[in-house]
Amino acid sequence: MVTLTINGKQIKAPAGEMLLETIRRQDIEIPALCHHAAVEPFGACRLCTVEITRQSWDGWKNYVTSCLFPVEEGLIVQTHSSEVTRIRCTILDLLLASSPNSRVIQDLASEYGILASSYVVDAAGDDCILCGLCTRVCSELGMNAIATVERGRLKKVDTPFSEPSASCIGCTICAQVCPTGHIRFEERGLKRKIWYKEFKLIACSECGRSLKLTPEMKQYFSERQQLPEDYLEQCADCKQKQTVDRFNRIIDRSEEVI
Amino acid sequence: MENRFHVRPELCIACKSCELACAFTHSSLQGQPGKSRINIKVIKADESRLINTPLICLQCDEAACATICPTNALQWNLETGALVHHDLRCVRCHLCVAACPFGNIYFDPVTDYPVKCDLCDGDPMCVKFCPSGAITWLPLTEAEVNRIQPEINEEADTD
Ligand code: SF4
Ligand code: SF4
Ligand code: SF4
Ligand code: FES
Repeated sequence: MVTLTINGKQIKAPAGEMLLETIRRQDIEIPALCHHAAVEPFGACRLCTVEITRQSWDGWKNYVTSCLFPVEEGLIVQTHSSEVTRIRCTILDLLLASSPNSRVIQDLASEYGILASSYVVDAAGDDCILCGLCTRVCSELGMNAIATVERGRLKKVDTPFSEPSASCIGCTICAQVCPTGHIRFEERGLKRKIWYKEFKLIACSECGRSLKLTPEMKQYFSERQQLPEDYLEQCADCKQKQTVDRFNRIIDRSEEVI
Repeated sequence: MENRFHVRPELCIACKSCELACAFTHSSLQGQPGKSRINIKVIKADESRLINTPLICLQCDEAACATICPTNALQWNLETGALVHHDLRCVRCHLCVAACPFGNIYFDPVTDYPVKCDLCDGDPMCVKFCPSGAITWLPLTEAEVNRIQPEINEEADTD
């Protein structure tokens, strides 16, 4: 455990924890768009920047991305100082210029008092802020189906050659973690479409309702996580019914014993 | 001492007080009641008899939901003995729901995250609100004896 001060309050935190987690545990809201606890921190969006100093620093201050900065003994942290707010405003101003139609960015910017970007707005700019969370999740889980392609203004997230990728298992995890909702997928009944590729969804073997899993996911994750594939065949409702039946058969049997 | 749920369908009157207690303890967004983690299922045993069965996660030692979860979003709380779902680590892949053999983890439609019993930080509310003793929270040894040797228990009761 280390002791540090956040916004004037003394706090204990487990050594090695990233500052962002400690800050959030105090119910202090700071934006952190490229962060997801499921993957290693990366520090792409810079919005989680906070001010740090120490007693011994004689008034000197430093600015660090809290998602990447482990807590330290004696650290003095400000999450909303005027300089921190200024840094966040600059980032949001830029994001608003490149993703002007993103609701998430608009809302966040207006929380920081920015209603219109002061930069040249890319009217055709999409909602992707190039934080790389989608590609990191997809590669950390081992699928590796998407990556950032091209450079500069053309840089975007895509599959190789903008074609259906053999590595994509249709899990939609990339879309689930995208902070701006840029990655879209379609799902109708037992069909799912993501990244130019169509998937059939597994139907519950009892009632036929969608399990929201593709056969590719079933095969891939049962092997990766070492759980037999036949675990992944029925919906929760049907399994509850079976559990009740099984439960009551056991009880009946124990009554017979008596 | 470690406790376990002891469930006795024959005592359940399907009043669903437990479901309410659970839903209000796990309020989701803006204080709305969350989805209950305990479910009372009523089935027809025969023409004249209904059976009410409380269904709840039994915190399996080798839990299928935790095994399949690719992001380790289901973690043991060693103090309470509960296998707890952490929204922050979850990527909503639905694997855990398909994996649990008993149907005891499922999505809360309001938050769109899976929910399961977390033992209310070691003090299960459903048990407190159950008026008939159909769900009790007993030290492991006692729950175990009741479970595997119902006949001994029955004799002791009739004494
Ligand atoms: S849907 Fe495809 S691209 Fe997205 S995370 Fe899953 S495997 Fe990767
Ligand atoms: S698609 Fe979403 S998650 Fe991926 S880089 Fe763009 S903003 Fe980030
Ligand atoms: S839905 Fe969430 S908790 Fe369930 S297996 Fe997927 S990541 Fe893990
Ligand atoms: S959340 Fe820390 S840099 Fe994006």
